[in-house]
Amino acid sequence: MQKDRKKILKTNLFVYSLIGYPLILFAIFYVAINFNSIILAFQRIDGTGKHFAAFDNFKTFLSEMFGQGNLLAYSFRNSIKMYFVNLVICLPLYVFFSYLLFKKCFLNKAVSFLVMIPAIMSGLVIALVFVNFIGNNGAVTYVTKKMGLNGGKWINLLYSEKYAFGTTIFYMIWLSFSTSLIVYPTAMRGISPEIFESSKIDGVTNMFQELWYIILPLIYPTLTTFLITGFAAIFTSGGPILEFYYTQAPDYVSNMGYYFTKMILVDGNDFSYPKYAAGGIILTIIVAPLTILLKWALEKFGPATE
Amino acid sequence: MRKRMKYESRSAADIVSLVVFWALWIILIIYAVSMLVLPLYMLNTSLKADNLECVKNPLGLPKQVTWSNYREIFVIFDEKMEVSIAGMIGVSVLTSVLKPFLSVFFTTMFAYVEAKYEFFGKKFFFNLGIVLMILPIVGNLPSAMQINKALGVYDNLFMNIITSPVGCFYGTNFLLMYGAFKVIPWDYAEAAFIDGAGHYTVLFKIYLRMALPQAVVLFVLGFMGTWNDYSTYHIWLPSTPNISYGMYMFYQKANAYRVSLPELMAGFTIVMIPTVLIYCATQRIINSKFAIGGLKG
Repeated sequence: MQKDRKKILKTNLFVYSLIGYPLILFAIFYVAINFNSIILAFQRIDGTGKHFAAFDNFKTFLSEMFGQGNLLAYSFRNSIKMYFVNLVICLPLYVFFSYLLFKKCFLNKAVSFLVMIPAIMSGLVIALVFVNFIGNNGAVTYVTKKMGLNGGKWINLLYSEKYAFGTTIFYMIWLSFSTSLIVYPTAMRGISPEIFESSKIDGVTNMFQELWYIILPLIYPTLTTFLITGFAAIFTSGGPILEFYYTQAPDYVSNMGYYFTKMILVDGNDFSYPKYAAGGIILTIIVAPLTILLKWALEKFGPATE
Repeated sequence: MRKRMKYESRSAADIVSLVVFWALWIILIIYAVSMLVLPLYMLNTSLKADNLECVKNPLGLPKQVTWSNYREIFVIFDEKMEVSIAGMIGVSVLTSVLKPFLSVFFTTMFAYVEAKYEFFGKKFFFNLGIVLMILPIVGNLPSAMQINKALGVYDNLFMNIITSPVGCFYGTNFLLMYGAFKVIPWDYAEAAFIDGAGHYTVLFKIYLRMALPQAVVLFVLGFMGTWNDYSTYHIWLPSTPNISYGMYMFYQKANAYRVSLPELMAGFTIVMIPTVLIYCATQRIINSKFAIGGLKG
């Protein structure tokens, strides 16, 4: 009995010697930070000190978020738009392209290498090169002028209200394939070849059938992981806005991830923190239950793999 | 003849599928080639003589290859910037090695004990990790700023490095390492324990070696991510820029410093050389070991 206890104690000591340090860091830099964020959200800080503000910060944030034509309202809407564009356009393409790589299509190795370029290169460098590429003296302008588009005038793709948001969406989609085209083909390669052999006998003969009946059900856990974590990040991902514009982005291209970073850089003082902390709590309250609901629905209504 | 028979035996759905397959292949090839546009544009521009040549024909090849842009950028950088280029590269190397090392090391340790040991809190941490992956916390930056300043972590490179492994029991890296340990049988450990080995010996001499390829992949990806990272330095370490953030500051002041576009592009090219070389050397292992499963909790 005592020997068993000693053994358990020894095991626990071994385990906690390995995980103790990251747990301490987690307690400080995750738990304490988020706890402090909640306290901050109910405070008003001014020259005289800290005061209890009840729900004032929440009211201010909400009225701006659901208002019209201000930075916060644009940021909120753009974050949602960006997520759905990603879901509707990118996800099917990730799956189809991954299928091609999994099937070892012609030039698959070269493709696998090339699509990783955005992940290898600095996101900042690539964004700044892009800004120059579409800029007043850049290659795109040169081509459009040669073609006589827009009367030979420069189209300001980054600042024109008509094109700016579309340009950022295009850029995000364009460079978003790297991780997906590693993870999905690897998941597909994990499917036993015997399953494909036997499915042929059952009449699965083409790409759509193979994807629908075999591959999607078997890579479903990977797919749901990306769907859930993607949804969870709906209000935290900032995209390339900071790289494109620094803190000077026009309101109509902003999103929530960018909004919080910009506000810390531009308006980063103790007096303004409570409003943003309240905003963070509001967005967490909106997105957290929805994420859990999405996870539940994906598990409940997902395909059976038997 | 055999080919024709095979073709005729296909249903309409099979033919449509085949057409879509090749149409998608063409799109994929065009897409993959488009990935070269920006790097080649950058490289090409970096070899041009001056701004005028870039404006006159941004897509044309340089009339004369000007390698001196690569030397010039170092000179301007050292003259104009407060931190020397060598200092920034030093910060980049230091953080790109130490931060991913600490993060991967502690993530690996956590994944190992979660996969192989029964201990107090095991289920709690695992389920908490799953919850944290799907539970988004938005907008805690103001609070993080307050706490980091209060603890002296803000703008302190050493503190920033040693406090970096925060989320070691959740996230993609944890799931990858957990999966890697889970598939290795415990029999090796039992045999080693009988031979008198302790927990640490079993971990470092048996299991860590077997899961090393996955850990190396995470380290390499972490290295590339940290090397390319500029926002951490922008927000948390403004006084100790790495080369990426340094280049960003330089870009912001390019006009004031009278830096030409080719010189700027030469600087960008220098920033990305290490990550390109590392990726080329490790591409095969990254592509084979990067697999993610589900979020069951």
